[in-house]
Amino acid sequence: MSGNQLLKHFIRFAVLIILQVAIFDNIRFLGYINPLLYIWFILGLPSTINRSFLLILAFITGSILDIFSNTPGMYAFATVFVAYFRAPLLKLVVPRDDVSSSYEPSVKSLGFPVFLKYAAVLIVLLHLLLFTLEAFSFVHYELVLEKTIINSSLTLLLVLSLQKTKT
Amino acid sequence: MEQLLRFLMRYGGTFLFVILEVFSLLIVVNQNSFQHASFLSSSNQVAASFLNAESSVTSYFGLETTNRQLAIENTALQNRVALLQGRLELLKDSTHGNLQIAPDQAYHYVSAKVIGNSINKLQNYITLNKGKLDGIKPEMGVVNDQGVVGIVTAVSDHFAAVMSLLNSKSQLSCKIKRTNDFGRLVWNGIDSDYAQLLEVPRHADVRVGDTLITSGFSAIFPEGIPVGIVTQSSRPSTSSYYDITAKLTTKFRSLTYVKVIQYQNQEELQTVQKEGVQ
Repeated sequence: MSGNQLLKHFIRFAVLIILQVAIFDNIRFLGYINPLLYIWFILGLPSTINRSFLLILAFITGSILDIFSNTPGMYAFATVFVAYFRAPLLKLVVPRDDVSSSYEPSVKSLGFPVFLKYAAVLIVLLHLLLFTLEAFSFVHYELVLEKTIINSSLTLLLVLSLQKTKT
Repeated sequence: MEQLLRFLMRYGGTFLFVILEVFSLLIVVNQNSFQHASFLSSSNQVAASFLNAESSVTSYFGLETTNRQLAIENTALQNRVALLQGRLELLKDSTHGNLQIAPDQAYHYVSAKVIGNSINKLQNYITLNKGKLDGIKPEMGVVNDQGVVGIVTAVSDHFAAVMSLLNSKSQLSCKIKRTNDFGRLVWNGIDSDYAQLLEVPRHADVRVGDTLITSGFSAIFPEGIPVGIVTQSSRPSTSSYYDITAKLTTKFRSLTYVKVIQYQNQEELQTVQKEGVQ
């Protein structure tokens, strides 16, 4: 990672965490709207990033959000899980000849259909894990699924629209 | 040794993944024992200072409603003072000035500002801008002029995290004002305006429109603080209890100022209860 790239990702990390804590975790409309836009930070990191480093970054990101929302361990678990399956998924969806070179997953670098597949799978996985863990002590499966579908769509929409403005 | 190193090089990512996930899961599973750890909660100094700064901006948006609420509460309190003063005079007159009322203020209220409040999760918490130095401790009750808000779970020097009634782990002992039947109030996570009252026996008489108040069994809330209004009650044939839904009197969407209840004799009550068990 060059210095410029590093700075870009750090700023993105800080801005997304602030947005998540100040806005997305506090939406009072309807009572179950809680998009997890912060995951864009993990999704957008360079493809050649060291795997262990990525996992530790994910753990730190998750833990910060856990502290703010009083949910010890939940964001951390879900974020690390998504970070671990990022590389295998990229291998699966990105055409073979691109694999060797380093790139940052985005609509611009992967093209819309490939990025959509990649982002959608990880975003749904994240929401499903987090909302299931949250419901841990109590079974309300329909509510978890409903929350997952609505909020994943919202997060995906946000990630895609933010990308468009950047290209 | 060499083999171990090679193993780590090859599967290091997976190894770390398993460690981090097991660690997170352990925290999730044991969350009850971490509940009072303020560094892991939003009452953590750094996190709460951030929330405080945020609320100093956003609280302006709700000023009008807050002012109206405070004015209404003020008038109600003034009326009550006038009423009680009148009664006191009357008593003094009837005893020719010999009456002495012992100071018996078992409950003390500390007012606090809400700096963080979520309603969109299954386990919602509220963060307040008062903490240990203001005399706030875990297990204290939190109310506002509308009704019960929640119970303090973790405190740091200047901030406190409160488990909201809108939390799947919250349980509140309540009674029906009209009949004095007791039940346990829980939240099912679906609607932030409604909660469920469990364990009210079938032979009780519960009607739509009944008021729920705190029972006063624990030292957390004094008796008689409003909790909700029954909106639905049925007796399913398979259960020996009522199925009751109540609309909460507290508007969690627009919490701004709350009061933390300090029960002066809490320690004494707990010691007595403990000795009673032995």
